Amino acid sequence: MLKFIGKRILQLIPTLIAISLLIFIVVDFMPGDYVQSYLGLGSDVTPERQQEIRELLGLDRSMPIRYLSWLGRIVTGDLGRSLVYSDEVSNIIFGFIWNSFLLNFFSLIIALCIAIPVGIKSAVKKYGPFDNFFTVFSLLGVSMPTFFFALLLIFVFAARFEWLPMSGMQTSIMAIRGYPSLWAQIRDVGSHMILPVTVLSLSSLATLTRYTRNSVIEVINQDYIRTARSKGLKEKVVIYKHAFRNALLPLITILGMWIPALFGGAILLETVFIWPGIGRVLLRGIRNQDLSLVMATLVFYGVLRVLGNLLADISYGIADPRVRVK
Amino acid sequence: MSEIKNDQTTTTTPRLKPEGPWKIAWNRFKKNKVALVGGTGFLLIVLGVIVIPMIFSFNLWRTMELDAGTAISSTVLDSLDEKGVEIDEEFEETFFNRFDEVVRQSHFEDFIEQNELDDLYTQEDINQLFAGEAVGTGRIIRETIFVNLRAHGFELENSDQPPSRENWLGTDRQGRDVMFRLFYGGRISLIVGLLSATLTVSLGTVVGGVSGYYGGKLDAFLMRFAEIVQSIPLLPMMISISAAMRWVPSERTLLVVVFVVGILSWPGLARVVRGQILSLREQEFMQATEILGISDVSRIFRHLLPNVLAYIIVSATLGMGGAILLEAGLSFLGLGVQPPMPSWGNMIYLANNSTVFREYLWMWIPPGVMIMLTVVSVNLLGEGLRDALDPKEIR
Repeated sequence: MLKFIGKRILQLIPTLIAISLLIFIVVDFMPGDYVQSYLGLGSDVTPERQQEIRELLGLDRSMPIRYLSWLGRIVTGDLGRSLVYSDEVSNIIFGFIWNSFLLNFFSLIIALCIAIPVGIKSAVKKYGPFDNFFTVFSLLGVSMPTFFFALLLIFVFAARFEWLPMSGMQTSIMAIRGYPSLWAQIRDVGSHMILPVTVLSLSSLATLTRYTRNSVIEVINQDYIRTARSKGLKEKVVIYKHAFRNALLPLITILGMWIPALFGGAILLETVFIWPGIGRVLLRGIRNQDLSLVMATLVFYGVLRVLGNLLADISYGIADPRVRVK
Repeated sequence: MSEIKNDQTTTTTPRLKPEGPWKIAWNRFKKNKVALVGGTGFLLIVLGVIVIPMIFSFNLWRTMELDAGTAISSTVLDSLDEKGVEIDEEFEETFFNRFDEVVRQSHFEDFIEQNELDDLYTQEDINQLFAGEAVGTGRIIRETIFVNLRAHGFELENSDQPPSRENWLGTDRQGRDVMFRLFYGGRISLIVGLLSATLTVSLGTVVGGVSGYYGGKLDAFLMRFAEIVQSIPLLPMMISISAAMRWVPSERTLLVVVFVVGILSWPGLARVVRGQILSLREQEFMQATEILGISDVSRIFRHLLPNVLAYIIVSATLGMGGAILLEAGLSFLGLGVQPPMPSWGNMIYLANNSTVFREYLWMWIPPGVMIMLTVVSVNLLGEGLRDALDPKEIR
């Protein structure tokens, strides 16, 4: 087992290097001059002086050398300084990650709690009314642009009826004055979370239900399920103990890939809901040509994705011993 | 092969005409109601997108090339130039930015009343400019602007109008008909979807085909490469690449979206094609082609690929739906198709303005609904095709 994990981790290195190279190249092509955006518009620093600064920062060197030095800094944990937030990039990322994490964590939990039972029930009564309803539901869910759905919900629940806050994570007055109690803070953040979490979990639900259903259907047609049934086991035991456990395997893989995708997809929702998450940091960095911030955010997404894949592989290896041998 | 079969059956049992695989697929597709609904819906949307913009006056078509702001700035600057006023670069820039801002908010009256032009140029200069006219400067500028805008197809005095008999879906911020933009934008969104799917499928098929057919080190290398591309965080990377390609002129930004979607989404199909070809390669009919000495190209394209065509078609259809959604997302962030060219995504972008969001629903809800209808029908079509083309399904 250890050998298997070790091998997988070793395989990550070239992937990570390739992704970091791609990130560096893409960001290098972004418009904007680091020195100029650092000095700000209308600064009276002469071009000669600017050139000096550029040399000082090593920006005049060739791309491969800049890449290597950047990689070296990233690996040692030095992510540079952000111009927009005027703070260390690592502080900013860690500050905003938790907001994104909060959103994605709750959405995923809710989506899983619904998707698994629904998927199983759909699979057991394939093509029944229940299954058909959820087939249509997931089709709509997959085809709906999430940000548009979010706009509709905000319009109805926040703009029209004012039941829920429109955007943000906290009521600004309350946040500035300080919350009277922890409970008040939880309630405030919670009410801001209802809409984004609803949209995110519905969009995950659409896909996860399908995956669960299909993987349970595949397992139900296996011989050992017939054996279990013919032994006279109760249907519940057959489904939940024998079928579902095995159907869980492909689901684990999906989850490993789903979590990073969830973070990525949340960029659009964070924009719509003005949620102070990592996606907004990325967009803000792009708009203000804050290149070190953009690079660090992309590295975060890349690492998350790669770790998700690794997690999927490893948990698959734990659950299914056959994988390890290959 | 089908010829031989035909001969045999016509001589022995004339009643039994064997059906070709395409015929069988078509028959199965016809029986699949869901797929038919999807296919019809998609056809209707394509037809609408092609025909409906043609009904509108030619004038509106010009608004696809120019923003009201750009149109005004250039015409006003031209007329200043004609009157012999010296225009330095700085003035031009301020003028352009200001006008653009003003036009977007269509606050003409306020703009003129407050005489904000004073900041740009002294009142004296402007008076001199329009000397000989009895009416106030503001009115002249205003009229020049409106006349010029009309020549460009904008009716600014008619902006932000709710749906009416003349404009079934109302007008937008710059006085353009929303229905026209909706269907013209549909062309753009569908073209983006189609081209992205084509690029994805071509890349996926070539990489998967080469990988599966030649095997060995090349296969290992290509599949490793596909794995790396698959580990790239999709949306963040698409956003960044689009941002890095800002230098592309706005009428070509749709190609940027196509490029970005295409180069990042091929690995899925490449793996499927590779797997299929890997198993097909070992079958008898491929050994036969080897013995017959048929060239590599012919073996790949005539004998192997037709067998994986079903997967390719299905993946192209579903990929198109995905690409339309991605285009919408990118354009909504302002990083996809750039205005003045409309697309469904950048039409919803207007909802970022709180007045539009709260009060001018006709500007942002129709494009969202169209995206959904299109993607639903494309997905239904894809699922239907998958069932119809699956050779393993019981006939």
